[in-house]
Amino acid sequence: MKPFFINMGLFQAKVNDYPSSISPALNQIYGDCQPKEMSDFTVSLAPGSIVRKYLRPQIVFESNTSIPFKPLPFSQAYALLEWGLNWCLATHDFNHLLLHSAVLVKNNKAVLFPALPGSGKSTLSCWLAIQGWKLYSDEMAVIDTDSLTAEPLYRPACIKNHSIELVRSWQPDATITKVCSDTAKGDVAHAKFQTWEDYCRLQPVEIAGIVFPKYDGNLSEEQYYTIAKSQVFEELCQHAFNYHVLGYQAFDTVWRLLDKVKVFEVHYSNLGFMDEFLLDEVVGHGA
Amino acid sequence: MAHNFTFEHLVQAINSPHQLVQLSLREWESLLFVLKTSRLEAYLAFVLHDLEAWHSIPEQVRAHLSAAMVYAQRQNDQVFHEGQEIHDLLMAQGVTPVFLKGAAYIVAATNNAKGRLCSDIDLLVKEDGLAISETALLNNFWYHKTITDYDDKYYREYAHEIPPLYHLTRGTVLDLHHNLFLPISGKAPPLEQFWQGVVCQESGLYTLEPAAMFMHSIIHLMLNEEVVYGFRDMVDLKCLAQQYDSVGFWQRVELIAAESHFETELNVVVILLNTWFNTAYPVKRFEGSLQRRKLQLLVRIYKYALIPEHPALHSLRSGLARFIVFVRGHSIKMPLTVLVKHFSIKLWLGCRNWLRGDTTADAKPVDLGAAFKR
Repeated sequence: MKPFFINMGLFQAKVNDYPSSISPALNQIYGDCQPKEMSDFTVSLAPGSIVRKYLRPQIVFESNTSIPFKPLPFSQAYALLEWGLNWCLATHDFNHLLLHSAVLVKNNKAVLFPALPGSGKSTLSCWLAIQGWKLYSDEMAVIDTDSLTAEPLYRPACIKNHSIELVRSWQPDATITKVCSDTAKGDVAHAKFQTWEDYCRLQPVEIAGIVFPKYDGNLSEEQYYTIAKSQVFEELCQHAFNYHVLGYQAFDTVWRLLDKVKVFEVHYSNLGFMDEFLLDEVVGHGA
Repeated sequence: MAHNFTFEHLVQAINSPHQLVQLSLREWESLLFVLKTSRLEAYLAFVLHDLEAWHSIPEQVRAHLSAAMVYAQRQNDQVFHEGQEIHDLLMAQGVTPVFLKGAAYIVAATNNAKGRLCSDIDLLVKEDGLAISETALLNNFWYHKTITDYDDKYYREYAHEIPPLYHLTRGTVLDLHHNLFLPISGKAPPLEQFWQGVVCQESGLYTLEPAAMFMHSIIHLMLNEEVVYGFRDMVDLKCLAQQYDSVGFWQRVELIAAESHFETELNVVVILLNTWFNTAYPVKRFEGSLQRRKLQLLVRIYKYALIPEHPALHSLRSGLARFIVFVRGHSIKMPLTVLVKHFSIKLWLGCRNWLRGDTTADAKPVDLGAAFKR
């Protein structure tokens, strides 16, 4: 079997072994990327054992002889691959500060949306991406510890449950993988909003703001607050994948970052409001 | 070499790091994957970082090496921090804790310390200080995870260490030893020589003296049934031998080996060091032909068993050699009668729980509260 190369931009994974059932998704999401000579990770997706190849089939993610997760049902293979790639990045990249956060860019300024499960972060990411924002990352903010800029990754957004239909309704021709049902996070699909060519034009950009979004459909009026930076500091440290490894450097990076960005918590029911709010209050309307 | 990465390439990378600048990106890729699996990436990263060649290494490769250095340095700091806390705690109880293996290299800043990863902290205390030490640790945020009554008995009656201790908040794993090998085996070395040379390092923490450290590393490598990081252990030994190489050092090593009856093990390791790393350290000549043949056989087995377990380096020979090491390791650990009993009990408990569909049937609930009780 010929390996499939996933060039995520900063990193490349060589997928040595994978079930043919995920070929369509692989080609949809990464089919257009240009492979580099050297891969940073080697991964494979294989049945757990001969028995589990036929009886209630399972799939196991392996990266260079380590198996970080328990096997998942065979039908969730593609989702497992994407989560596995997150694991690869989070456990190997100690040259950047990695925050569990979406990164969206407009007018050459980045906004971070640190993850709060159930906050509607990914849905918001997709909405903004459709509105012309650049999706630098849906899961992981890659932050340069010197320049404090956010780096782009060539990765899809992970959308869940009824957000999948929402995204389809917003952009009927969106590139969305086949839905993996009944995962730990419910129904999951991956959506991509840029081509490799678009991605190659992206540059590291300055981070202008950190926004904690909270979707609340029952809200009659949008509300937004500034938050004490000491509180945000703690939140960011907890949301960092590699804070404990970077130690002082992570502390220093988060500290310097907070010193220069605007921080908001926003409760919203209307996605259009978020677009306006971010332009008005965080990234500006551009030249 | 990319498409046919071999063990010789790995050894060559350790021996001549400055030559690595000639590698293509494909070749680097193979080397990095094998180094990661062998836990030698950070070691080589620090070696390369000190060379002029560092700047000629492709950026994508340097990113891996830098990340490995950050990770290892962080662990290094943690070992010092944890070590200091444990040291202060036990010294206050009148017990001198001696750091072993990975933690000892880091504490003693030996040549292999930079980039040395360790999954736990190994500590040696005198047997009469064991109970006091365990109590002191249990009273200070360390706890035992749930293990079966049988496993607990195994540790307490047969082993040279007590069940592992875990730090309640930091998750650090601590192995508290009172000997360097299982007393039940009848092969546990007399500890006088080991204790005699204990040294206080600059940090104030204690380790074995170099020769004893070297010998303990050999005992650990050669008597264990698993050699997953065996090649890394050989690189440890290479660094120690290189750093302390002197007539006095080797005399002391031979004395300790003779007194603890590990001369064959010492010879196996020295022969392999000389073979792989182009050295000429002294190998004692055995008189008996049986002893000589046993030595030859062990050298042949370990030569293959210590090849890192990476698919790129896998061969039938190394698989077989590791299986022999596995069987040998178990047979050395306990007398046959005890081993049969041990296996039978393990098998019975396993079957019983499997039939019950319960894998935690024998587990006792952990009393976390015990850590806070005085």
